[in-house]
Amino acid sequence: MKLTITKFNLFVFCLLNAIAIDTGIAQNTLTNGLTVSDSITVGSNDEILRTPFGVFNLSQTTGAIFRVSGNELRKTAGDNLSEALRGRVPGLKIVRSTNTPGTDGDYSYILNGGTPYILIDGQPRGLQVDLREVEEVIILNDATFNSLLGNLGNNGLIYIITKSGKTAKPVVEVNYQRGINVPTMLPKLLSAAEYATVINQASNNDGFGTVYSPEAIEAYKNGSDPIRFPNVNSQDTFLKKSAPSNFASINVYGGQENVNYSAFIGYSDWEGLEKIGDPIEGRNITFRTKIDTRINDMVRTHASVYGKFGENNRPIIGADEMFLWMSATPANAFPLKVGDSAYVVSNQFDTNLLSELEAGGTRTDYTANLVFDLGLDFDFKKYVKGLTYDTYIMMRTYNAQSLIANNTPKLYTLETIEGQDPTLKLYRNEVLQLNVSRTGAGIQRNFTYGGNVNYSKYMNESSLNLNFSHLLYYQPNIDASSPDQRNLTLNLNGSFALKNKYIVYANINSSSSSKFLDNRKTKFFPTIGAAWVASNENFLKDSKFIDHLKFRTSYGVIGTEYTASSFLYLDTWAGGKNNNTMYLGTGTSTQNNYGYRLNTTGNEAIDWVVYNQMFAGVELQMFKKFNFEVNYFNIEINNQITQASALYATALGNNVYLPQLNFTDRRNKGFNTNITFSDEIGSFKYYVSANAGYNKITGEKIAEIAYPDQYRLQQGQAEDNIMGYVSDGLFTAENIGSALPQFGNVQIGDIKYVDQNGDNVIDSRDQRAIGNSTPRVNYGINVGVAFKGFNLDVVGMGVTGYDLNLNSYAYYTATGLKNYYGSILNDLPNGNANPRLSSLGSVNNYKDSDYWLVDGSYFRISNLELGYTLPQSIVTDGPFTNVKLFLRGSNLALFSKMKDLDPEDPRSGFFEYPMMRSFILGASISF
Amino acid sequence: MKLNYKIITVFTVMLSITGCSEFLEDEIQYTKEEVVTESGLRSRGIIDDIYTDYSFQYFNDFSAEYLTDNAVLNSGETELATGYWGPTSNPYNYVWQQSYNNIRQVYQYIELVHNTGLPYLPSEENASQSERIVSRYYGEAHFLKAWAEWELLKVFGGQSKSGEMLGFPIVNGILKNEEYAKLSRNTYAECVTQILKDLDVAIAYLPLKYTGSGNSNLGISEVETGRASGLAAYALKAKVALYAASPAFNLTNDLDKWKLAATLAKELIDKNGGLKSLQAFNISNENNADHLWRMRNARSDNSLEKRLYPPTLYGQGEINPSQNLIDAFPDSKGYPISSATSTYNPAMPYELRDSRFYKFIFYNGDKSFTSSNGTDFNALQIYQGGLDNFGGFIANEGTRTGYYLKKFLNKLNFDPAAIDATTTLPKVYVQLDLSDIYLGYAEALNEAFGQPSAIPAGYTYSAKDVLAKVRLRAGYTTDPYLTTAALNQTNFRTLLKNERRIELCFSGERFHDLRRWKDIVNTPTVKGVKITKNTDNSFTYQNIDVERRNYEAKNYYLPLPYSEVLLNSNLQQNQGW
Repeated sequence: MKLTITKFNLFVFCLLNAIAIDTGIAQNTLTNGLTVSDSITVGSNDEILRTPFGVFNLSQTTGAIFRVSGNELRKTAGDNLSEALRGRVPGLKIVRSTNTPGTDGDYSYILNGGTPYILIDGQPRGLQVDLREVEEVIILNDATFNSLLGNLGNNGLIYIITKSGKTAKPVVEVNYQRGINVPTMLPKLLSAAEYATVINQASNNDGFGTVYSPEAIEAYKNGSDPIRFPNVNSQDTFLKKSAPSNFASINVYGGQENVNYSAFIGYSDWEGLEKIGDPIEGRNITFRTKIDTRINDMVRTHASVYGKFGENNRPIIGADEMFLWMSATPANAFPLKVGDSAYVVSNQFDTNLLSELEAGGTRTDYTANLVFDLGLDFDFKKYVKGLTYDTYIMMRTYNAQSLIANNTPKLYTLETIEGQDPTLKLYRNEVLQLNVSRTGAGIQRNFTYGGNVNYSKYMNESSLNLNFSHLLYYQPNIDASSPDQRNLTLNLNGSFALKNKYIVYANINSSSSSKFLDNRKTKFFPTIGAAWVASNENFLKDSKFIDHLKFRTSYGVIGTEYTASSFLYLDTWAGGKNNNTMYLGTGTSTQNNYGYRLNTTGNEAIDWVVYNQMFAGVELQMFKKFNFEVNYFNIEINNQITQASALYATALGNNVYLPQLNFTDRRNKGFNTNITFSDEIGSFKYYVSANAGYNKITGEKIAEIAYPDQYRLQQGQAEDNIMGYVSDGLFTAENIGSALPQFGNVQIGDIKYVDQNGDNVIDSRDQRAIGNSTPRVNYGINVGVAFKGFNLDVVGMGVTGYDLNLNSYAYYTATGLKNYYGSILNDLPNGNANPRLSSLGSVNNYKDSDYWLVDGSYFRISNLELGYTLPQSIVTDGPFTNVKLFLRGSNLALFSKMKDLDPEDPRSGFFEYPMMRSFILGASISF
Repeated sequence: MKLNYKIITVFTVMLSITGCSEFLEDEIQYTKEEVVTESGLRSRGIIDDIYTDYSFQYFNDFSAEYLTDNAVLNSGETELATGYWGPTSNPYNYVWQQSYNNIRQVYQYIELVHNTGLPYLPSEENASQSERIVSRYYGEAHFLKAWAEWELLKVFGGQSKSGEMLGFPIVNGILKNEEYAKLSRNTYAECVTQILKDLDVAIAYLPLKYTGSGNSNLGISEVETGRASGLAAYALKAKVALYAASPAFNLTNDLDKWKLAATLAKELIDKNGGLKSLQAFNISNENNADHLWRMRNARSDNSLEKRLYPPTLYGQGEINPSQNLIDAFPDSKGYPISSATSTYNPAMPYELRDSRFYKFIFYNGDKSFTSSNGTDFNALQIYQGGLDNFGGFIANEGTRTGYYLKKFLNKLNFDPAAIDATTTLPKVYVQLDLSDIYLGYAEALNEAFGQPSAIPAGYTYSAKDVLAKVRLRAGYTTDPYLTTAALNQTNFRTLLKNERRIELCFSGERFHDLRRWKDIVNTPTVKGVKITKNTDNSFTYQNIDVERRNYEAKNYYLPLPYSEVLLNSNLQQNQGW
């Protein structure tokens, strides 16, 4: 009870705090002045994007720009921007890697084969944003923009703009969504009888005899003695069929001549699937307020606060461990409970999830995320027309702490003496934690100080745009032995557009980092770009079918610092008292000897990793209905850091004697493209859009052993090669006699490998590239129709061109006498039969080979919205300006060769929370 | 407004000019070389650090045993022993890197610390103590270098393709990183000479053994036991010479090499105070002077027991000794079980056997291993359907051979229901044992002179006398079988090899012994026993094949690391690889 009150108090405190900050700022303050239009296509009219690192005219740029409006994105269920972006942006692959309720999904972003940098309102503050407050997302993905953030922006920028006030009349938007989440798939687990049969088969294959008698298997089947012969379906026992979630938000924005403001507050809650004990349940509150005030003709000031406070209650056993226990405890291991209170385990399987959920204790995690920024915008038009200076400072803090009550439930084993009833034998005593303990989990802060001087001049049919921007980024590391992130970036760039036809751009970037010595601390990196708007030429100007045609290219050099958590230029030693030393003497004599050894050899000449980026693209719009865009890129990644130990003899001792070198060169080539067709017939509107990205990274200079077998070399090969053996089916009675020497004592039913180098033996020299591990292609399909207030929008996303290595997943490679799963009942997803069951863990079969590779391609219907917007005639009578009701679904269908595990996250449902399918009913109202 | 503007300008300029250069100077906490090398105590940590590579290598040793006919792992086949063994796979590859790393660290110590004359303790009044310790560390450095070289020689020594008997590339110092890719192998003989030379330096600087209590004998007292000592260096010299004399490395059977091996073993026996009786085999005894070089644990480690105990003692039964090894144990009178005079009864195979059998092996019906707190355990049930078999007490744990390993294990009680059970006890790990040197002396003398009972001039003890000391510890106060075997060089050799197998089982020695004796090609299939319990509670024993062994002549020697040979064209690979 006491615990509950504490938790409640803390939550209320956070809530009040949030509101206090919210209102406090709202009374006094204002926004980083972004003027953008909602249009998706780039028109010929000027579109000015004012960012803290430059002011750009998007219609007169040499850069590749892709834009998605917030309203489009908000057709997605829930509050997660990453989920909404999936399948919508060409070349952008977003992979979900966790599904635990209350986590943000741990999405990883891959744009054109690299990791893009995310900016919120132009500021580097992480993905601290809520889908419901997004105005627009702009993807800036070519050399023109990549250099502007220096170290941070080597692989493109995802620029998220949040809603700001701009109208005179205040607008209030209210949004509520209620969702039901159900697991998409759970791996198949074996019933007690199936498990016992498989174990017997494995055991007999190795001549160990039968482990489970036919009587026992029969008893598992008919359930006649659930104590001695249990058959526990753990997924049914512990998991509900569905869990609810709720999302609510209010957005207020508006403005007058001298002040613009916006405020957002969002609430989300969630629940887990646990059927027993207290399930995972939690909530968070997100808010953002922005104010932009004019002080006088020359100065405007703007400020914003963003906060996210979360509370999550969960069983003390982590979500992932819970699924591990479910998957790894066979159905016949033990009856979960005997009598009213005796939790049972066995000597072989000693984890009882029932005991842990009912009596293990609970944990509450609190997180607090805050971002503050304050800026001044100067307009010097009084002195020089077109000259402005915008500057801001920003601070982000993150804190996490937990309250923990961790108990150890009492456990028994069942002792069965033949002919008698089983008796309980104590296995582990109960330990109750009387006090709730508190841990501080994470603290993180970072600071940014940035600004930009802009000079724009518009002449007759031409325009000149100059920027000088500065950015200071500081992220202190609380661990004193690891470096901070300290970066300074300066950019000087100019673009000139002649008659709206010919555009040239040049940027000189200066990046500085504390991770280098001497004159390598600061480096200069140039970028140039050029574009030709052919549709503005006379010969196309009056064309009836071509509305817009633009060719553009850019080339840039970008430097990034290394990510190592130490300075690579230092010689360091490691050790200390009683560190890696022997025990001396006898009895309990104190030791206190020192152990020291060289830890790293420094390289004072360590230098930046350099990206030489070449982009070229075409934009085309025809008949005002058809839009096409394609971007090609060819990126040379030079001076990647490695110790190149393959080039040195191992006799030199240890890698610690080798300094880190700027050695490896790679090349990333590919393209991304988008095609949209939209039209309307009367009040019936529809669009079809498809996007795709392709890339491949190959090694151009790789430190590797000079194997005589050429097929083993990585030089010139894809970076994501899977090296392994080529298989030739399983050994049969016919061909076992002619088996070449392989690994161990091969038998019928073992995998047969191909001798690559013709030396009549199979060993590590017969490994070659057998597949690749990252998708070459990712794509999305967006389709929508609208008719008289109704709309239906569907987003699908998929990847292809890669292989999943089933040998990496315990679900498919079960061996020995302990764990087996439903995979054993069927062939592998690639159609191959399971190799010989063995209680000894065959040394031959579980090596990486193409026997285990399966095409990992999948296509997912990721989001769907069916909406109805009330006709204006009805709405205008009331206080509302817009009322929309909708039904949304996410993750509705998956098409893949993998049937039991999700190819996007094969651990899900097995060792992790399962992927969820969500159905949402909601409404949004504006007034 | 102008003020505001000025402030901003000043702020910007400040940051970008003065602030920036400082902002970009980040400092982190790390240990600089001087922090180590300029401290008398910390700098010695460079040597103390090396020891851990050689301490508590039990599981390393066990995995070498799976390569022989002594044992199998209960949960998997041993790939190299059962199938094809190519140049790309050598379980001892790690020795190459580890040894050269330790040699480099030894020279780091000598160059950065020893040669600078840095005292151990700075104060004047401790000068003599300090000197003693500095000198001891110099001796330890040479012993550790010799040990690293010995491992290199043991593992990689062999006949090259051109027929030359080669050792390893000798490195006396620190080379440039690139130069290690140009090393070439010295001859086997040069390597032996180098190791013996390093050990002579070690002997000159090390105390013979660590004795006396802490304060009276600071730096070389009992509390330092575990460090390299003079006796350890003598023992290693004897071992190096024994290998050098062995058939695989002494192709012409040069008898002088056997004589040298015997002489060096005798030197150790003499330095140790003559031909002493061996102390009882007890791995918990931290005060056993027979352990010439040993390390001990922190008394908090029970991984051996957890992994090796049979299932009903709550272990994983990881190591399964073979029927072949069980058959090598004599009967209780010392006769081989195959001998006509033996009291061995195949119907009751575990009755009346060598005392070491009961100490080293868990067998069906074994009751000896009751817990330390007196809780009785039932007899082990290693029969079909028994609790200590697959599908029994812990369904996935069992034995493939019918036996579990008991040697090295303490009596611990892991019963979860036990109250105040003892779950850790002291344990030592012995690198150099007196019994090993006794066996080496007997072997070398028998090979050199062929008369096991005779005392050749200058050798004081006969091969038979010394082997008798080993057999005495096994309980053979009268030993008629030894007397018979000692009449003949061949019979004595057979007996000695069998004694060596039993005494040193599961210490990783047998694999290298089989190689140096050139016996490895004859390694038989590993056998086990299938035990059936009869209705009258008697047992039926049926031998079964468990795992094949597949060795060729090339296995006398091991391959040099494949990638190293590719990289360094000066490095000659051993024959057959």
